[in-house]
Amino acid sequence: MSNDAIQRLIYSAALKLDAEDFKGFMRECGDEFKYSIRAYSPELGQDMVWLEHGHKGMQDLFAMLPQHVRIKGRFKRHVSVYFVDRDEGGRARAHSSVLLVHTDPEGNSRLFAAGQYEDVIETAGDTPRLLERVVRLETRELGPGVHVPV
Amino acid sequence: MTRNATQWISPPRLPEDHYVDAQVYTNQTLFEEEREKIFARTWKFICHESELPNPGDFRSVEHAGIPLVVVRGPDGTVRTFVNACSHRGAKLVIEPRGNTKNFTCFFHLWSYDTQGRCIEITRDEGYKQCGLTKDDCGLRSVRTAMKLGMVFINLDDQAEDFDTHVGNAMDDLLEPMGTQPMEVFHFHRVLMHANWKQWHETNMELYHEWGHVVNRTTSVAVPGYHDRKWKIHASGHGSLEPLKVQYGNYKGWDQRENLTLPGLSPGEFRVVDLFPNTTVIVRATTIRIDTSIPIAPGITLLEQRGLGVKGESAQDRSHRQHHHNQFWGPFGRNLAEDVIFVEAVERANRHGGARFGIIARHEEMKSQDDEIMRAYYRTWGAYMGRSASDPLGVRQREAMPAAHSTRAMRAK
Repeated sequence: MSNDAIQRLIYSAALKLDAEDFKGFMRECGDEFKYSIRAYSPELGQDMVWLEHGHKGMQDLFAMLPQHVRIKGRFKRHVSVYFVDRDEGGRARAHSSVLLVHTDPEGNSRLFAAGQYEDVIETAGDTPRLLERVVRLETRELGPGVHVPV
Repeated sequence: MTRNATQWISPPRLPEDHYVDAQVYTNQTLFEEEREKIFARTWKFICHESELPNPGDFRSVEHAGIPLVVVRGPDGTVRTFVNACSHRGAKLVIEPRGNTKNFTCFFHLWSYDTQGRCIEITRDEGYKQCGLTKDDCGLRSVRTAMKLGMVFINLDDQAEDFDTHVGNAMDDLLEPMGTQPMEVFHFHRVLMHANWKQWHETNMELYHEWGHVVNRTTSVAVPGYHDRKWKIHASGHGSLEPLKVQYGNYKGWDQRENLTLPGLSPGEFRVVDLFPNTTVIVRATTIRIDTSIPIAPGITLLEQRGLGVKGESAQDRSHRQHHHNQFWGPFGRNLAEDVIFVEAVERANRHGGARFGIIARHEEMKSQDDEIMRAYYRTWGAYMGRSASDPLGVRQREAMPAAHSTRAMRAK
């Protein structure tokens, strides 16, 4: 499987999250998909886990979204894939930068969060699938916070 | 029926402690008075002792606009000092945390030990003529107290002692927080565009739980929710009788039957509100300490801490962290919504669009009774010397000439 196909998966997943096409996003993920958001706290001197779910947990989270009060506007993920490394056993590891930009209903855009994606991707089948995504956030002050994954 | 402009700006036809004037949230003069009359005089939660586990560990923090450093000395005692060098006032400690034997100012290299004593003045012979010595140059000590691992400070050397101030308001936390050592595993801040009191209200005014789907399903809909009673404590504190929350009512969540903290039944919820702006919320397996740093009338820095059991297994910690993050943290289902709620209120209050907040619910002191807020604002009023419904004393002043003229007429 080419690196182009792997990069296309990462970009496609970002576009689906931007469009809040969460079912589409989950179709890009394997059955054993794991997702977490982590950040380092200089105040505590340790890593923190801010969100952690498996495949079903992500589906449940998305299913409940329509009932929640959320900040208005849209999020855009600007992703740059830095490199893709191949593992033995039909897996790839991709390291990307992600910038999350929020645009409010009045059209004001601001950088909401900066971080990195550490993805594990299954490459053995016909199409690549996300097996694991760790989001390492550099931004720790996220305004009200968000109900959707970065 | 709609109201015209005059009606809109007229105080509600309610007892004066059943509403607040929105200027308590927006007025710059009141904000500065609050710093002087409340924050510089009351006990305030500043950090958890687990943030300073070893001698020499320190945390730099801020309170009422004053930089502070909290440090555990070689004798194990936690002390607090104003984080300013005695020489020219430069901020002494820059890092948020660390471990040190001495604090050395990076400006002219004056040094202090962790008990606040000045131990080094660079080329001190230059001060011999004027007689200034190290003994004259110790750091400004700040009163510090600890309860259940929580570190509290008070800038006022003359204020009542901490135990008198808190009374028995923290009794509901004795078992869950005091049986085994706890530690902070989560810390995040929110720069919120709303007043600091608005945030504290979200932890007292439980009527707003209707706005959170997660609270509606797991708590408001649960038998017994409306039967709990608030306890109003002296000094503006409050606590609420416990509830067995049905976490399993929310899609995909477990019931929290395991890892229950000491003294609680599975799923049990407790809340303790401490005047002026700290709340401890217990949710069966995990605890949130919520406090704020007022920056400006409409800007508040929230500090959120999540606590687990010190020394627990990685598996237990992960489970507890998961429970914490379901509700709280920047990706929780509850906390983000509260920020959205109070920011919406601030937007309407900011330039006088909204004029009053109604806190008039009576439910025999049960969960959604506003008496907890009325008691809070009575305490606020006692510190400020005025009512929250007339915070600038306008009606008070208007009433005075009338009284004078009445007296004058009687004299005639």
